[in-house]
Amino acid sequence: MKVSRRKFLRMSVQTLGGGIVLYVASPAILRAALQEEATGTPAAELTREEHSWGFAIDVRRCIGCHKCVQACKLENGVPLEPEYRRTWVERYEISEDGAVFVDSVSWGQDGPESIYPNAKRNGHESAKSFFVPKLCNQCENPPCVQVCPVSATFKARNGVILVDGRRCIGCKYCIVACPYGARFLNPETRVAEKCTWCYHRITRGLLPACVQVCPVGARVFGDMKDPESPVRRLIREEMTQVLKSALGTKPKVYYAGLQEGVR
Amino acid sequence: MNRKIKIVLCLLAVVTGAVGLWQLAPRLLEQRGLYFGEQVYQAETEERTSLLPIQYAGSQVCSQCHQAQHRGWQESEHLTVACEACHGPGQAHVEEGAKPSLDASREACGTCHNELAARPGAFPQIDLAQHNSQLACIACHNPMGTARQVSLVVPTSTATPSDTTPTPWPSGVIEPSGPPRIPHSLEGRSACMACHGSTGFKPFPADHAGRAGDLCQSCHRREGT
Repeated sequence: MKVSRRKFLRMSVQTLGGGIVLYVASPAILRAALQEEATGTPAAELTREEHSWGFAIDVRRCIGCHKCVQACKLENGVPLEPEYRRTWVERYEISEDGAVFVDSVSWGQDGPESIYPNAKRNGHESAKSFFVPKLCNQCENPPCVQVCPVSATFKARNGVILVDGRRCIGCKYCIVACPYGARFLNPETRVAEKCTWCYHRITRGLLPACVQVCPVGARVFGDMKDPESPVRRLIREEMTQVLKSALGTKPKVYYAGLQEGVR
Repeated sequence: MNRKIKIVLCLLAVVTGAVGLWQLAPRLLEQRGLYFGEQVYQAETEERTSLLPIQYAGSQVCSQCHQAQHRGWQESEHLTVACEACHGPGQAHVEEGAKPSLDASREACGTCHNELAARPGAFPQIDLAQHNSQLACIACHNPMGTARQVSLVVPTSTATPSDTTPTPWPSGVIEPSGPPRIPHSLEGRSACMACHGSTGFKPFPADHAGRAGDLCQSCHRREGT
C-alpha cells in the first residue's frame, strides 16, 4: 500500500487527536456508566464538592465500653481477634511523676474481655486515667497514599481515604507509613485495610457504626461544610486538637479534652 | 520549502513539547497518579465501597415497629444509648427476620457500668463483684424503665442466687419509687436478719427465699430517702 506524505500526516494527526479526546473523556464516560449501575447511591453524596466529612471525639465522655469497636467489627466484617481493628480505644494511665502507660484491649468475641482491672503500673501510682478512642484520621496529606506502590489506596472525592482491595498487593508499606497505626493486614483477604468512616453508610446518609452505637456521644460525625453540623459545633464550642499535628498530615479527626501525654 | 526552515520548525516543536511536558507532568502525576486511567479505577472503588451492605439499621428503623419500647426508651435514662448498642446489629432482623441477640448478663451491663478508674467520675458505675453479686442486674433494674431516677423494679419471680438466667423483660411491676421502703430507723440495726430472718418476728416474704442475708438494702431503702 502506498500512502502519500500528506495523507500519512493527516492520518497521524487524526489518530493522535482521537487518542487525546478518548484519554480525556474515558474516565468521565466510565464513571457515568458505573453510576447508572449503582442504584440508590446519589452521585452527589460521593462528590467532595457536596460534602467534606469530619470526625470529632470528646475524650472526656468516653467510658471505654468498646461498643464502637464491636460495632465496627460487625459492620465491616473485621476479624474478631483483638489484634485486627479499624478503630480501637486506648486507656491512658498517667502517674504523679509523669510516667505514661497505654494499653488497649480490643473487643473480641467475648464482649466482657474489654473490661479492665484497675492496676498499679510498675510501682507507679496512677494519678489520672482516661480513655482515648482512635481511628483513621483520613488525613488531608495521607502518607499511606503517598507510599502505596500500586496506587491501591487513594483519596476519594469526599475526602475519605479508600483502599482498592483488588489492587492491593499486601506489601504493608502503608502500615509502616501511617503515623497513627490505623492500618492492619486483613489475614483473610491479605488486604491492608483501615477505617473508611463507614463509607458505605455515610454515602447512604447514615452515621458511621461507631458513632451510631456510642452510648455517651463521645464520637461525633458530620459535614465540615455545614456550620450547624455536630462536628462543627463541637470544634466551635470546645478547644480541639489533632494528633501529631507537627507531622503535617492534617488529620480530620478532632479531639476535645485531650490531656497532655496522649500521642 | 527551505530545508533550514524545516529543521528550525522541527527543533521548535521538540523544544515546545519538552517544555510543555516538563511543566505539565508533575501536575498530571499529582492529579492522576502514576497509572493511566487511574481515576476510573478510583471511581469504581468508590462505587463498590459505597454499595457494601450495612449491618446496623439505626434506632429510627427499630422504632417503626417497636413503638411501645421506643417510647419507654425515650423516657428512660438510656435514651442516649442506641437500640443496637445492646441488642446488636439489626439490619438482618429487618430484612430476613433474624432474631437479634441480647446479652442480659451482669457482664453485659458491666461493659458500661463496671467501676473503672479511667471512666468519667460522673458516669454511674458500680463494683460488679460487690454489688448484689448473686443477682442479675435486671432482677432489680429495668434498663428500658420509664423512671428518670434509678429504675428499680419489684421482681415477681423467685430469683435464687444460683439462678443466673435473668427473667425476661419486662416481667415485674415497674415502680418508679422502687420496692417498699424501710419504715424504721437503721440506727444500730445493721443485721436485718435478726428480726426479718425466717425465725424472726417479721420474716421476709416467702418469694424472697434464697436471697443472701445482707442484700436487703440493695433494693429497700430508708423511708424518705
